[in-house]
Amino acid sequence: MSDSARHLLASGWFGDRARQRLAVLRRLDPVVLLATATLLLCGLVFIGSATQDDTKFADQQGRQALFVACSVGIGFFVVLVHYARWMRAAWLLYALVLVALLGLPLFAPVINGARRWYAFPGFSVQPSEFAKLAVVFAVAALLRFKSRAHTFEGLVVPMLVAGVPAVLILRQPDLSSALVFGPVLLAMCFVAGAPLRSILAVIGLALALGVVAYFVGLHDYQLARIQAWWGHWGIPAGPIEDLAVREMLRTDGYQPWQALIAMGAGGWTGFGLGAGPQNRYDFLPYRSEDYVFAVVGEETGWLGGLLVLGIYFTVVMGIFGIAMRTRERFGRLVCVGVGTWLGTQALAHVAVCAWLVPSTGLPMPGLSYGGSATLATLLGIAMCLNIGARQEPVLAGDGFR
Amino acid sequence: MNSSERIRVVAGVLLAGLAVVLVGLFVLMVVQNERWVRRSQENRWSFRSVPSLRGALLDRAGRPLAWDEPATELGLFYRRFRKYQPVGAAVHAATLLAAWREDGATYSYLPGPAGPEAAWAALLAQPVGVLRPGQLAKPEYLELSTALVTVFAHATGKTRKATFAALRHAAQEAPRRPIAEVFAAEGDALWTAYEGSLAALRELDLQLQRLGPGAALPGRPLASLFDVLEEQRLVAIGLDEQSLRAAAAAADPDAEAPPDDPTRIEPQDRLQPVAREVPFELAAALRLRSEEFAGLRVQPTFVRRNAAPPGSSLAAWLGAVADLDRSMPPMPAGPAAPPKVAATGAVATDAAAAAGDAAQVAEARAAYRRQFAAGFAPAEEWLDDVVPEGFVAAATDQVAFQSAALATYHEALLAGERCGTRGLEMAFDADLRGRMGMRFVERDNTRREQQLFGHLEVQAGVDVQLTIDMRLQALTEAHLERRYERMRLLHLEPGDQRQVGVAMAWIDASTGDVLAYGAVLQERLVDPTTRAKTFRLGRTPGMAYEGNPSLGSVAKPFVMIEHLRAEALGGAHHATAAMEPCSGKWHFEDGRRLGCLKAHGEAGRDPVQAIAESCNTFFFQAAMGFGEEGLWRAYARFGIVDDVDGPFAAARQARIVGLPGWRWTRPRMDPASAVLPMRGVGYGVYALPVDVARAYAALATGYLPTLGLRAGEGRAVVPIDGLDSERSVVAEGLRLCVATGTAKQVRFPAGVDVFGKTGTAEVGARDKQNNAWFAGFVGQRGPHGEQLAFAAVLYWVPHGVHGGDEAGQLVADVLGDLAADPELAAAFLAGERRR
Repeated sequence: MSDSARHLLASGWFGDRARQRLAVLRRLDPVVLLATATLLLCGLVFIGSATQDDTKFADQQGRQALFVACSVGIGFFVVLVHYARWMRAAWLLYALVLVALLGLPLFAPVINGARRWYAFPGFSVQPSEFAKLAVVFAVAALLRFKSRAHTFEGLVVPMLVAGVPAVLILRQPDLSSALVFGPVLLAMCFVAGAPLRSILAVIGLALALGVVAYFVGLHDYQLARIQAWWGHWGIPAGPIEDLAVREMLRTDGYQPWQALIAMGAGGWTGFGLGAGPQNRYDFLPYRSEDYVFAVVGEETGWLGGLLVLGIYFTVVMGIFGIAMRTRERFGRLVCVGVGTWLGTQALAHVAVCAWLVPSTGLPMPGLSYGGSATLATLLGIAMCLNIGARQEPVLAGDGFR
Repeated sequence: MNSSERIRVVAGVLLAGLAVVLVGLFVLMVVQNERWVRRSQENRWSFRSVPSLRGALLDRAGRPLAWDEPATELGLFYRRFRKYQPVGAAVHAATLLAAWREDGATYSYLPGPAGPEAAWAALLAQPVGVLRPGQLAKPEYLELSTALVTVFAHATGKTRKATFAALRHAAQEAPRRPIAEVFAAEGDALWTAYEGSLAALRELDLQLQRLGPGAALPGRPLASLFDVLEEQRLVAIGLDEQSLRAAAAAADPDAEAPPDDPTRIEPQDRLQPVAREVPFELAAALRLRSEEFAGLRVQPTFVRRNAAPPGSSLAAWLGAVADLDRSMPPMPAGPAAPPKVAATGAVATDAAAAAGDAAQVAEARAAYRRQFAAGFAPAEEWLDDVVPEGFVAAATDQVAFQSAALATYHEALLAGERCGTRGLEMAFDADLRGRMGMRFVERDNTRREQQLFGHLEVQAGVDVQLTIDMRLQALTEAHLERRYERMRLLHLEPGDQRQVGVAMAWIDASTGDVLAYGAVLQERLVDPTTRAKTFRLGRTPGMAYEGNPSLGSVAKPFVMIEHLRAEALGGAHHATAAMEPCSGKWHFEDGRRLGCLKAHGEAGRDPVQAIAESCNTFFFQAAMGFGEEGLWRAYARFGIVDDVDGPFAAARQARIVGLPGWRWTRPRMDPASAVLPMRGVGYGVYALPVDVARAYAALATGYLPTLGLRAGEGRAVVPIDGLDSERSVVAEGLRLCVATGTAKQVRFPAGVDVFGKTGTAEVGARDKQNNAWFAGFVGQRGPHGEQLAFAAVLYWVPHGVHGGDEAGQLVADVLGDLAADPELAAAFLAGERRR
C-alpha cells in the first residue's frame, strides 16, 4: 500500500472508518428528513408554477433544483462530520460572515437599491443568509457554558454577537433579515436559561427602539411600506373611490395588494397548479422569491397552504424535538436557534403574503427561490440532523439545570 | 423552568403564531373569498372596444368623396403631463406655490416673463420648507411633491425615491434653504437638464407645425403642442371657458347666463387631441421617449379624408365628423342641473349643498351620457353577447359585469366613435356610421389578451353612393368662383360687393339626381347666446340668399304654360290674339305703367317670341288675364311655390336630405312684395336654383322629378299631364332664346343643344342692382337617359349685367368644359338628341 493510499484510509473517508462515518446516516431523524425533502419538492413545484411561461425567470426551477442538489451534497458532508468539530469552527464561520458583510459596501453591486449580493458569473451569494446560521453557531458556542447563560453578560454578549451582523445587514439595507436575529437570539438565550424578566425587558426595549426608529431611523421606502400597510385596512370591500388609496395601491402597496388578491381569491382549494391568474398573468412581481406562499395560496387554496405550513412546521417541530432529545448544550441551542429562525421566517413570510404585517423582502426558507437561502437553510437543517444523529451522552445529567 | 420546558415554550409561541396566521388566512381566503375573487377578476377581465370603420361617401361614378384612413394621432393627458413631464411639472409646481403664497402669479408654457424658464427659476428659489408636514393640505402637498420630485429627479438623474428623500430631509433639517441649494452638488447640470427637456418639447412643437395643415386640429391652421398645453393649463387653474363666461356674466348682469355643460369628463383626464396624422417616424420616436414626453400619447385612429378642396362647396357640402363626446348636445337644464356659476366665477360654496349637488350632478351627468350613448347602440342588441348569461355564477356579479360592460362601452363609444356633425356626413350618418365592437377578455399584466369570453362584432359603416358627379361639381365650383370674383369687382361700393352671391345647380332631369351644386354666398350666423347676427362668406350649397332673391324672367315659361292651358281649356285668361303689342311699356287701367326691356312689337303677342325675347308685356297681360289663382297654379304646378295642401301638393319638393336644412328656404310667392303683373314676370317669386332647375326639368321631360342625393334610390315623379303642346311651345321659345333671343350672345359649345331662359330681376334701390338668372336644360341625353337641367344665378350684380350676359355665359362655360371632358361628355351628352 502506498503512502498516499495509507494516508487516504487514515483520513477516515474510506474503508472501515468511512463505514462508521456513514452509519450516522441511519440515525438521522426520518421525520425531519422526509418533511425537508417534501418541502424542497414543494418549493421546486411552486417555483416552477410561479415562473412558467416567464421568459425572464424561466430558468429558476432548474437553477433551484441545482441549488437544492448542491445544498444536499454540502449538507451530506455537514452531517458526516461530528457537530463538535463544527462547533470549534463556529467563530471562524462568524468571522468569515462578518468579513463578507463588511465587504458588501465595497464590492457588491447595487441591485434594487441595496448592496446585498456578491455577484459571480452565473450566480450570486447573499452573506446575510449565512449570517443567520453563523450567528446561531456563535451564540450557541457562547452560551454552551452554563455559567454565562444566567448572567447579564450572558444576555448582553450574545446581543452584541447577533447585533454586529444585524447592524451590517440593516445598512444594506435589509431590515427584515436583520429582524430575524431578534427572535432567534431571544429564543436561544431563553432556552439557555436567561431569566424571563430579562427577555421581556429586552422585548420591551426592542419595541421602544422600534417606535423611535419609526420616526427617525427608517428609510422612506420602509416608512411608505408601513403607511401602505396601515392604509390598506381601511380599503372598502367594494369599488375604491379614494384616489389617494388607488395611487397607493399602484405604487408602494402594489406588490402586497396583488399578493393579497392572489391569496384571497384562492378560497378553499385554489385555482389549481399553474392556473392562478395573479401568478399566470404576472400581476404579482417577484413571486418565486418574496411571495411564493401567495402562489401556494392562490393555486392550492387554504387547504394547500395548511398542508405546506404543516410540512414546514413538521420540520420546525422535528428540530425542536431533536433539541429536546439533545442534552449537550451547544447542539440543543443550535437546534433551538435553527428551529426558531426557520419558524419565524416562515411565519413572517406568510404574514407578509397576507399583508398581515408590512411588506418585506423575506423568502420562505426551503420554498422560495434562492441559492444562498436554500443552502443556508439546508445547512441549518443538516446540522440539526447531525446533532440529532449523534445523541452524545452527557454524564453530568441535564447540562441546563 | 428547565430547558426542555423552555423549548416547549418557544415551540408553543411559534405554534401560537402559526395558529394566528392560519386563522388570518382562513378569514382572508375563505370568509372574504368572494370579495377577492372579484378583485382578481377586476384585475384580469377587461372590456375592450374596437373602433368601427366609417363608410365612404362616393360620387355617382363610384369615386370616393370622403373615406376613413388609418392614422396615428397625438393626444395629451394633461394631468399626467403636469405630474410627470419635467416642464409641465415645473410650471404646475411654480403655479401651485404662487397660489400658496397668494401672490397671484401663474406660469405659462409660452415664452415670456412668466414662461417655463421663470417657473424653473421660481422653483429653485423656493425654500424647501414648504414640504414640511402641515404646511400644505394633503391634496396640495401630494400635487406639489409629485411635481417637484418629477422636476428634480429628471434634473439630477436620481431616482424618484432618492429625490423625494432628499427634499424631505432638507425640509426637516434646513427649511429655509432654497431648493437649488438642496441639489447644489449638481451645479449647472440642473439647468442643462431642464433646458434640454424644454428644448425637446419646443422641438416637438416645431416638428408638429412642420407637418402642415394636414396634422392640424379642425379650425386651426397648424398643429401646436403649446397651444393645447396652454388651453389645458387655463382649464386646470380655473380660467376655463366656464369661468370666463361667468366673469363676462359678472360684467354684464343682465346677460342671460349660458347653461353649464356637466356632461363632459374632466378635460385633464381625457385624451385631448394635439395633432392628427402624426407620421410613423415621429410616433415611434415619441413612443420610445415616452418617459421624456410623459402625458403625450400616440395612438392608432381613423382619419376622415375627403377629396374636396378645402373651402370648396363640396367640402362644405360633405360636412364633418366628430367624436360623439364632442358632438353630444349639452345636458338640458333640469332639477339635477349643476349649480349655477356665481358671478365671481366660483361655484356656490355652501358645503353641504355643494356636496349634495355635486353627487346629484355627477349622477345626472352619467345618466345623460348613458342615455345619449345608448341611442347609438341599444344594450339589448349586444349586451348578452358580450357578457353571456351565466358567465359568472352569482346573479349579482352577472349584473355587475353587464353594468361594467355597458359603462365601458358607452364611454368608449363617446370617446372613440364618430358621427357626422354637418352636411352629407350628418345626413347619411345612420348608414355611414358603423357599430363599435367590444371584446370581453382575460388579459395579463401587460394588457395582452389571453382569453376571449364574449364579443360584439365590430361593424363597418355602409358606403353611400351619392348622385353628385365629382368632376361636374369641380367644374361648377371653378366657374362659380371666377364669376363671383368678376361680379364682385364690377361693384365699386364695398357694401355692394359684400352682397354679391352666385349659385348654380345641375340636376338629372330624368331622375331628379342632384349632379352638382355650388354656391358662394353670404351666410348669416346667429350667436346662440346673444342672438347677434353676423355674416360671413360661405360656400354651402342650398343656402338661401340673404336679400331679395326674386327669380325674374326665368319664371316666365311657367306663366306661359298656364296661359296657354287656360286659353286651350277656356279658363280665365286674356286671349293671345287680343293682347296689345309690346311698346316697351304697359299701362294699367288706372294709369300706372310697367316697363319692358324694349318694344317687341308684334313679337310681344307671339308666345314663342315672348319667351325668346322675354317680353314683359305679354306676361303682364297673361297674369292679369288668369288672375291670382291662375298665377298660383302656374308656379305651384312646377313646385316654384310651395302648395302645401292645395291641388299641387304632390309637386312640392320635400326637403332634400343632404342639403342644409337649417337654411332651407321653401319656394314661395310673396303677393305683398309685388303687384300681380310683376309677379307674372317673376318678381316676388323666390326659389333656390335647385328648385328652378327641377321646374325646368319638368319642362324637358313632362314630369316633375323628386330631387335626391342618394344614387339609385327610388323617387316619385309627378307627371305634368295634358300639357305636351304647351310644353312644346315653351321649349321652342327656350330654344329660340338661346338661338336668337335674350341669350343669343352667349357662346354655348358647338354641338350642345341648350334650351334656356334668361332672367334679370331688378332688385336694388332704384333698380341699380340685378339678380341675373339663366335656367334650362340640355337637349342631349346620356347613355342611360340622363338629361341635364340647370339653373344659375348671380345675385346683386350691377345694373346692366343681365342673365343672358353673365349667368348664361356661366352655364355655357361649364357646358363647354363638360363637352370637352370625355368622361362627362360620355355620361351626359352621348345619348339621343332632343328634336
